Amino acid sequence: MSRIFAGMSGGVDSTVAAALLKDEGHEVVGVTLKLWDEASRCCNLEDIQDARQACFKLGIKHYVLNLKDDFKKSVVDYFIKSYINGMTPNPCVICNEEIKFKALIQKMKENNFDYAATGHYARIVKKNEKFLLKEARDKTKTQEYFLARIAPEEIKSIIFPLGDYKKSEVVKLAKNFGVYVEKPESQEVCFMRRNETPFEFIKRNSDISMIDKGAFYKSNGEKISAIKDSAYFNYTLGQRKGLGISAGRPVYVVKIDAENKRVVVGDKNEVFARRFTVSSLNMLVPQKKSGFYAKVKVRYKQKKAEAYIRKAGDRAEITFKEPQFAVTPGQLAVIYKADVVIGSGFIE
Amino acid sequence: MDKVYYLDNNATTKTDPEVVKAMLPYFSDNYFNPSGVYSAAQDARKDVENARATAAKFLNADPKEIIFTSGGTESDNMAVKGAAYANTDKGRHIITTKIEHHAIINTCKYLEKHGWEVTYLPVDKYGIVDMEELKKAIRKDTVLISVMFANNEIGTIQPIEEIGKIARENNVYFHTDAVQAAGKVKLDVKKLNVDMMSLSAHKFHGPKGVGIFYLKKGVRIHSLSQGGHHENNRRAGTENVPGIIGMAKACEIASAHLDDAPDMARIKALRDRLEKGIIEKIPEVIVNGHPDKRMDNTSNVSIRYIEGEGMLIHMDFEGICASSGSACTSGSLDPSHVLLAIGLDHGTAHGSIRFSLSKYTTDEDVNKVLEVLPPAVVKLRSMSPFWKEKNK
Repeated sequence: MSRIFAGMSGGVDSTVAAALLKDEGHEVVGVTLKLWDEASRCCNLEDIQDARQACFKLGIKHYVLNLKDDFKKSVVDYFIKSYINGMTPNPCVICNEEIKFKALIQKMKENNFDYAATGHYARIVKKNEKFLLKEARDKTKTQEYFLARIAPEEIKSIIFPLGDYKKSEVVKLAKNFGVYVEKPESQEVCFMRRNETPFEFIKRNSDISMIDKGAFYKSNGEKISAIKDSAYFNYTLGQRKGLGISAGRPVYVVKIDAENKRVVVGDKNEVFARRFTVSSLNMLVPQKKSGFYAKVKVRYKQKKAEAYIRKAGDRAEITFKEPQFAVTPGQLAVIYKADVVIGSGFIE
Repeated sequence: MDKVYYLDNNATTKTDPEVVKAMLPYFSDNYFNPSGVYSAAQDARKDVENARATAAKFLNADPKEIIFTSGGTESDNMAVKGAAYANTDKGRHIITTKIEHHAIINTCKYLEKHGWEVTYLPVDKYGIVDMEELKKAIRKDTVLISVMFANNEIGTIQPIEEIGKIARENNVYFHTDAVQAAGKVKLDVKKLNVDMMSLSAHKFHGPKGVGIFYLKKGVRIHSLSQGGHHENNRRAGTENVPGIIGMAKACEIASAHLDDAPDMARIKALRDRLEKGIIEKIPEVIVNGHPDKRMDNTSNVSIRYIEGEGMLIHMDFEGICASSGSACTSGSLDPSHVLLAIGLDHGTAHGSIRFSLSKYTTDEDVNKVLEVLPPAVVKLRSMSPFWKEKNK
């Protein structure tokens, strides 16, 4: 029997994760994080209540940790700053790294517990005395991409009980355990309002001047039109929909030039890139050589592609075998060997 | 349930078994609506009115000045909104303090959104309101001064009598939220110069969901809920008869308890031993609140470089019930506005723990805290970046 802190959002996944651990006979304590006051889809009072209710049913202790200040500083401010600097941030990645796992592991250590667990779809497998972060069995749900920032020394203390389950099985389990609550799936950016654009969110949550909102340009430097209803930072690389430009053919965002507040648009082929660099490299499986072949994924929903990685300190240069679509500054590049996460770095 | 060491009596208290006993018949045989015409109902009416007389005696008020409510929050709302709505001909300015309970602060914030102006008086490092600041804040259009009797978090007691005198001299209504004082300090509405006072039964070993609103004769307020003619047209809705009977019993018991000096002295001695033990066993501790003008049952300490949340979890594993910041329904802790108002920085405010005792607190409870807390602090500090920074 182990003593485990289980992160519980009030959703079906983390609830079943806790239930499975309890069912195996472990001592489980549920923890819900309060991160944002007017959250649209997560960590609002109703979700906290759902998590607490689930803990009552499971007969385990439950605590709410207030991390609103940290979340604002580490996730929301970073989110805004990235967009303003012309990048496309991934707040879930940052939240997992700076908030969720940090808090759970901190609580685990403070109370001399053995493990921290969450309802993420991923697996941690022990091989040759080493712990590896792997994709989940359910390939449509697997979330190892979002977990790639966890510090290598912490991996051994983490359990993902859902790694071998399919989502449909988890729903069934929830019903069997009597903890099923019907609610919409949580979305990527939990602190934004429903259907809100980054521009609208930033306008509401910062005092950034909106006088010069920038303009659309062609890749040859020719100005197309001023941006009226949003701003240059509302766009992301490879974006086609919602640009409001009629060019007689599909056009894509090929570059965001924050310094000059320009959104450069062009043909699809201009969005492909072969070589890029990453920073803040987090190696989960150390490689003997500074240069090695692996597969790399540059966005959550993108396919892994073959690449050559050349490390230099905490940065790396990554060269794809075939050019990849929308290698976007601010997103995470995750390095794999088969289904094992080797490391990750933020695209520059 | 596992053994519990209960040191959170400012949140709620154990209902006195005598109170429970007094209430029971009103849940079963004596269920009648006091507003009925028949004799059985008349008996219920008589019991409610007797309870009112007991409550009045508890505060040295007239029974006609006692309105039964659902508790402290409703009473506070009645005072602030009631006085605000009824006195718009005079003005729309209210004076309160930065350390009030949310029942006052959030009611004031609500009124601010609807055209009223509110002055939130600052307090000194002990949590006491400055009389000169108060005098300066009073204006021609000030309709209400609301200052709490004793603070729920740090226990500091305000000079209520003096504030009442200033309010009288300036012809401004004065309300005090005495929720934390009732049952611990003798309350005499005449001596204190108050026009309105809020009390909550469950803070002095009465049942939850029932409270008192004292409204001095002649004071103009609007009622907040419309309906029947209950409570002299002040508060519509069928009386919470069992609650009212239980509260009256709690008033009776509390009166006797207040007269019995050794009992109060015992609570204070326990509190002092707890506080002294914490200071001796744990370095870098700050005691919050006034050294003397403080509720004898309350001890609020800031244990620097760590968070209260972590300590609460450690103590909960051992069955100790205490609190940090102000409890809210989500169970998540915001830094206390009271601790920020007395000048603590964010970090120190986050590291605060409140122990509040009652007549049921024992030596064993205090011993348990002194056994569990010091090693928990050592453990938490060993992991705290702030503690490491400090010891560099």
